[in-house]
Amino acid sequence: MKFRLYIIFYFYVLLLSYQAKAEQLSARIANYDINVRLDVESKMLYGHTVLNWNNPSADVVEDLQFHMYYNAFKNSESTFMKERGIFDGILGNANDNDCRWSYTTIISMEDEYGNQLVNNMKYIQPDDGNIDDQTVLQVQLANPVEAFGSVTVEFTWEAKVPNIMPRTGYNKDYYFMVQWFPKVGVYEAEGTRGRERGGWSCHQYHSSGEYYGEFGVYQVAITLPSNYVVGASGELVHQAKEADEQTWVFHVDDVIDFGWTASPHFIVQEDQYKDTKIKYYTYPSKTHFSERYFRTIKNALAYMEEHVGPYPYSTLCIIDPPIHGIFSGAMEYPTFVSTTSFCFLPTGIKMPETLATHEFVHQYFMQMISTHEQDEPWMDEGMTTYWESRILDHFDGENSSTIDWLGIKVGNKEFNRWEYFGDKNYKIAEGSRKAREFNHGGYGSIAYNKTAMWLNTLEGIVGQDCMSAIWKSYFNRWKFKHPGGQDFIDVVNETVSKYHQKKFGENMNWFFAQVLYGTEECDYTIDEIDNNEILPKIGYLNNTEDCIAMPDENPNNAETKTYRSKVVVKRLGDMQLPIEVQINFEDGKQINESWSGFERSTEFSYTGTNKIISAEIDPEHKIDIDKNFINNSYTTAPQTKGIQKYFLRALSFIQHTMETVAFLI
Amino acid sequence: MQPIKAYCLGWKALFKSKIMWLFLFTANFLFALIVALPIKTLFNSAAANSLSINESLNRFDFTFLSDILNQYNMSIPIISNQLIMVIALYLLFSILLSGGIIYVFYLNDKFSFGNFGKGSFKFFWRYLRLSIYFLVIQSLLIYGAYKCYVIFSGGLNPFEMESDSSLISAFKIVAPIYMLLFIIVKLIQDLIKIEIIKSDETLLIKPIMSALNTIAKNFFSFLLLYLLNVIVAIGFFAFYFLIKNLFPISSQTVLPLFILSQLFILCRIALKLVNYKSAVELFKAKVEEL
Repeated sequence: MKFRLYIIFYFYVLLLSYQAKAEQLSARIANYDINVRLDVESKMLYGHTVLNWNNPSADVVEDLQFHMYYNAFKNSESTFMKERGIFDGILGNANDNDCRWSYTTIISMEDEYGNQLVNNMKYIQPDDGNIDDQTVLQVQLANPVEAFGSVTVEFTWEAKVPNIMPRTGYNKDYYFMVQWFPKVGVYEAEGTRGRERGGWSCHQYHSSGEYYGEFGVYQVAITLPSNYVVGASGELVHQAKEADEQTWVFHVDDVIDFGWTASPHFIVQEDQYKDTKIKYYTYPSKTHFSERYFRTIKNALAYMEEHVGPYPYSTLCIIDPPIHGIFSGAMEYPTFVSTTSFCFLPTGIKMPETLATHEFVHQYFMQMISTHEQDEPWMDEGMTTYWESRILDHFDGENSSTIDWLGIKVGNKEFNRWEYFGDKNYKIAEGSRKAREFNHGGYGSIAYNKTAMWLNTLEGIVGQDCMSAIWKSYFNRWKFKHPGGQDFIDVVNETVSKYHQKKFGENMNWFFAQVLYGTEECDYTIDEIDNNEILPKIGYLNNTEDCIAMPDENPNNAETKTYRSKVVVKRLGDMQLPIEVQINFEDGKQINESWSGFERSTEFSYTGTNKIISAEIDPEHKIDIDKNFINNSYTTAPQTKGIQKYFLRALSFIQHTMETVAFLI
Repeated sequence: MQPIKAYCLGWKALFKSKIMWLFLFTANFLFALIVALPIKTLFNSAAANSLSINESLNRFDFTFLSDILNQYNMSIPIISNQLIMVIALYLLFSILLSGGIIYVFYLNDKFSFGNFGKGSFKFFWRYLRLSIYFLVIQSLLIYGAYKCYVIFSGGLNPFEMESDSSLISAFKIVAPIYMLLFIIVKLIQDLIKIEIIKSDETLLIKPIMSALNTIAKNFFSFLLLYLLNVIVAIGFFAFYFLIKNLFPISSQTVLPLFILSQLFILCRIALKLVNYKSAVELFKAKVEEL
């Protein structure tokens, strides 16, 4: 036993010496030294982990809690499976020889004092009490961890790799190994994300919302057949071949998780952005996408560096899985992301660019700023979707960054808006809801799309300079920490009051109350434009004896008429936002008005010799969350050219369709 | 080179049948108008007084279109149903007219509405039955092509596939074979139509057998003629898209693009007429030979 402890100590010293070389970016709470062997015949992982865990709080911590993610796929009774439902297509049929289910189990565990902990373990179900769920393991420590103290535990474990499960597993000889090892949860000190008392945040594995991890250093040695190529988080620091097996050792500092992938068929292409090596892993049919990925990632790196903060890691792996590995596409892990593409995708369908950008931005939102995706998915997926639009629209054009093919042009931001309003569940829940509580739909449209839209709207209201300051301040304050929603709101309130003083009130809470904590809908409309000619006063004006008639010189015949004109603006939705209205007169004059947007309606009146010809709410489309841009403007003269365009196009389309169908007979 | 001669005769006959050509175009236009007018009404009621519709004049405006789809979607199912109904009616109408077209071409007379109408109504029920049979055959052909595609690509379950490139390689094999079979089926269908007019039999079995006999004896001549028709049609399509892409999307190009589209519809109808006439001419030549 002592010998084993010496070994642990040796590795730990090695780890510390490596750590000393690199600038420490995070508190390095959970540090792992993992040796794992993948048996590709039995699809088993045999692992040995040394975990050094530091108590970040003033509490005495009596237990450790581990995520045992692979137990989500142990049987049909896990919380994950109950929430998602059994998906026939993915699970195959009963005649399959291979059991597709998986599990993970800790075989032995010992702390640094030699205490055996394997009998102190039990599965707990903090979220739903589902006793069949074994995705959280509680280990009672023999020696509690003192305030700001630490503990080192060594454990052996094994896991069966699932076949084609959401996000992870294997298919054929392709492996995508994420959420694959027993991983300690996050112990939140008092005050973290608004907690009143310190405690573990180690949730069961749910169908929606994946991440919340603790920062640390990972040293991972992966042994598998020598014909396999491995891509992983961090840097490859050592590679050794022995007989028909090969060990790949990876190291990465200040991350919240570790993912890896393996296949004998991977082709690896490389590029560089400043100090970051970008590696692209794919199958032979998709190597031609490398330029698209490298260009996209380099753009994203440069943009995020300029507008948020630098990417501090030395590597970034992009995995484009083979078609049979599509279950693992579009995922994000520290310095390791996966995308999805098909070899026949034309350049104008920008799915690879969109996914690569989105997953890369997650390096900031959920990784460096380690938010709780299960509790506050908007801080993870929503913020990422906002930045995805900004980056792609900036580099590929705001009307063509998602599709630019056969004359069809769609921008990322506009596609996002369509996804949100096209979802029948877009008002079903407030945006602050936990991922696992979106029981009746709306998770994607609210957590992803709506958040991106209200962030765009916030940018529109407070201005780009202020918004830039918000992001930089948020990043600098919360990088390598665990902020909650209120922490972001605090940054917004501080920055807005610095830039605008009390222009928007005491703070911006009124905004978040609606867009984040409410389900209100935003819809403003120009209801009418009236231009009434001012006629002389006629009738009984001064007394009841002299009826004043219309003068001979009828003003209607005069060259210059005077009008009393008005624009009526209405708030159709319940959301109240400050809006700008642009009013255009027939002589070309423009007047810009502002309205608090609180009342149900208001009007802007003018007297003059020119009629109002049109009015437009939010002419610069700052209020992205407005559900209907068409009713945001009104013109007194119908826009016949536009109608003609769509009518003639529809007519031609129908003619061609009919002629094509008639060709069959 | 009878097929080429027949093809040239087809073009010659087209210009002698300008009234029929124009009539078919007008019919197509009017049928399409039945669906296009409600679309115009939808756009009028939703956006005629909005500045946003004019903003979309110079580009493909996804935001405008998505707002129409999301906010005014009540009318969309009605218009879609109407489109399906009109297409079904147009199919029936095309079956009706194809009798007239082939009858006029077979008689080799100058076009007259009398002959055209006579041929249309006289052969309508027989052509309708034949069209139903061939729609079934075409459906089976598509199903067969799909099955072959599945086999060649190793199954369409992505989790079973080795590589997505198998989807492309299977397509490269199946698509040309399908196109060839489609052309052959179309060829047989057209020649049976001609035979129906020639023999004027009430039951279809005799003309079908007779036409198959003629085709069997002159298969490559007919195939060459149909391949010629297809190649020229592909050329027209390519030319149309080439020209179309020269026009940028702007308020100035709305009308020119529409006119170009109408010219292309005219060309498509012309190609259909040329196809019929050339088939009639080759059929006659081959029957005479026999």
